[in-house]
Amino acid sequence: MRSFWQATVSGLLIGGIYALIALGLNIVFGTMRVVNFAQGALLMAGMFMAYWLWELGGVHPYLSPLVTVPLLFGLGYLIQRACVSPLLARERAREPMSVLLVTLGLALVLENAALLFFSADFKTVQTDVSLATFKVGGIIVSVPRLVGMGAMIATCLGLYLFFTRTDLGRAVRATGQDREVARLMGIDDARIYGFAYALSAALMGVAAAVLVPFFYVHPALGTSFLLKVFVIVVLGGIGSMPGAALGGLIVGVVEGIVGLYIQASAAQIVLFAVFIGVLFLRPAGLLGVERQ
Amino acid sequence: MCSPRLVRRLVMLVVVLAGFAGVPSAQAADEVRIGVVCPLTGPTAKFGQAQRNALTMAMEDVNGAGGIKSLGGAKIKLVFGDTRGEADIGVTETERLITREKVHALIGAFQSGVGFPSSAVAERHQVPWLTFGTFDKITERGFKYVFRAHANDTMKARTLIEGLVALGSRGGGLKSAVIMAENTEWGKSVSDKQRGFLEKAGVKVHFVENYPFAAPDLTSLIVKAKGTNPDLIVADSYLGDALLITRQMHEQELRPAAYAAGGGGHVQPDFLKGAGKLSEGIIAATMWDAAIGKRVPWIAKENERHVARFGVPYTEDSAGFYQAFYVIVDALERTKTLGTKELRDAIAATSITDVNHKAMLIPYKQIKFDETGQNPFATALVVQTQGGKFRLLYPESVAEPDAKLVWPYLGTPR
Repeated sequence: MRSFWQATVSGLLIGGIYALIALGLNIVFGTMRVVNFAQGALLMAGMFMAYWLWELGGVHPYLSPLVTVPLLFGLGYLIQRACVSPLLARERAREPMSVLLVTLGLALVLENAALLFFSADFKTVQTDVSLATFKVGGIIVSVPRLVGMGAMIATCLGLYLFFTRTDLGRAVRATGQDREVARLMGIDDARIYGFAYALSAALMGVAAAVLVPFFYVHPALGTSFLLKVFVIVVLGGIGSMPGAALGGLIVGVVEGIVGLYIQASAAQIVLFAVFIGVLFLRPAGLLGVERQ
Repeated sequence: MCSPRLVRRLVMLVVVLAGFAGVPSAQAADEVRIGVVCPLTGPTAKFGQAQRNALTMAMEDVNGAGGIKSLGGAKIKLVFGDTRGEADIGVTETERLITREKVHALIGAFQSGVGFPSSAVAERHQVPWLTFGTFDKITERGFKYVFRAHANDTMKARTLIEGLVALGSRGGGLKSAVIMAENTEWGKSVSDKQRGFLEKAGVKVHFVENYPFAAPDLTSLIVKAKGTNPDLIVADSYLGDALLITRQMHEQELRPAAYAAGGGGHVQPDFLKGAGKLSEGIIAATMWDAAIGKRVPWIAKENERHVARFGVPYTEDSAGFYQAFYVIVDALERTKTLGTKELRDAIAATSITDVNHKAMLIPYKQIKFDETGQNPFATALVVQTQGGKFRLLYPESVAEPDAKLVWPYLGTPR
């Protein structure tokens, strides 16, 4: 029984990290209706920034968002204006398929650039929290993963407040719900798209900061997370921030428990079966709103 | 009988044909060309560059000492083909070395995945191929021109398990084990063999799990292993997974008496850096270690020369390329004419037992080839990480006289 609770708690904790990345993907998906395949690569970029800050400047990874978040925000805005926006304008009338391909291309460019400049070496950061744990009733809790969970909850709340209480946030949501109507209401949708993409990239700075102390940094690591995070976004509900959080936790726990009683490879099968089931029963996702 | 005109035409025809083939036939008598297929650029470039260094020094030694005497002092020329670590490039480079550079023999290709298809090209063109790469099947395809002097995966797994059992009897015995291996070709085949050898040695294997390669989290696997309370954990992982498993074992307080690795990530410098003190006491199989020099003086000297010139000691792969080179040199010394067929027969007849022979940089009882092209006498070494360095512990015959065994792993009471 202790194993069961251990697997559940550990699953919840890693699920929190998945959720944090999913929040970023969800913002772009919810606003532009495009899966941003470059999300994993942006996370990787954030992790390399945090790594070099630590290696060269001795900056603790938990302080790295002060630098990486603005940097990634700028990078995201640039990518959106230079690569995504022109295509989106051209494909206004139909599903923006080529935007999807562009983000995939961007992911490959970022990944290979990292390979070229930083080589395929695995880099690690050893901090005082890297291996820290504590016990609650016999259950072992990893401190850096718990920090990740805390960062996820804080980010989720922050985003929730931003999207419901501020004009800019409401404009982002309105554009996501109906771009044409939003335009009629005087919202500059091109600017909103740029902002949404930049915000989602900036969130990867937060995710990178919590991952770096206990994970490794490698050019190809974005792909390890991307597919899982995509499932989480669709599972939780496109555009729904609490949905992304809930989806992340569910995926983490399912992985943990299936990994314990069957095996880790089987977790993928169960996960995608659940995913397909949810799509059948609730096409909009668990907490998503059905669109007409 | 033949008119002078006809003779002239025939001569011209021969000249033209020779020109078409691009054959440097004039120089064939005084130069032996050995093709080297290895990754000189790309993500594994630093391995390929070390291999080139080792071979360059060996070539200079042979040429400096007068070349191949049985061939009238023929000099050796190395011709490199860069695989960039990719199988399809390895194949085209092998093709190029054979058809354009007219090499007499080949050495390659570091990664088994590259060597497997590339060696098939050598077989098709009937050019001898000396393998560096541990994948068993490279020499199990009924080929006539493919040879391997060093240990394959099965031999490496056997040495690791035998070593663990021998060291275990010094430490307090091994009764049960869990094997965690990544789920690609290498992890699956290696873990299968380890299970077999463990069971043969009377060690109960609770379970073998092939976890997904590059997984973000493996806590549940660790928790499951902890539930069976094994004396031994064997992990067959690439670097990222090796780091994750080692750290999560520590977090979940999974501390077996012995923590062993089938190679891969656990023996790379980046792992030692990333795992820090958690790497202390990890037992692994490798093919070469500088500590062999403590028992075999010429190896120590050879390694010192290498360090003096390149700043680093030999590694298991650069030593393997070096060994393959001297197996070819040994065969060349026994041939009268230079041809790929003759060279192949001479390699097949190899029998080296002198521990001071240069091909014994990786020492075995003997180097010879069975009908598959594998050296049946090849073995591996068992090393343990101590203070961020490897100490050679097994087999007894080459073990460092002054090395102590760290047991149990992380020194914690169980």
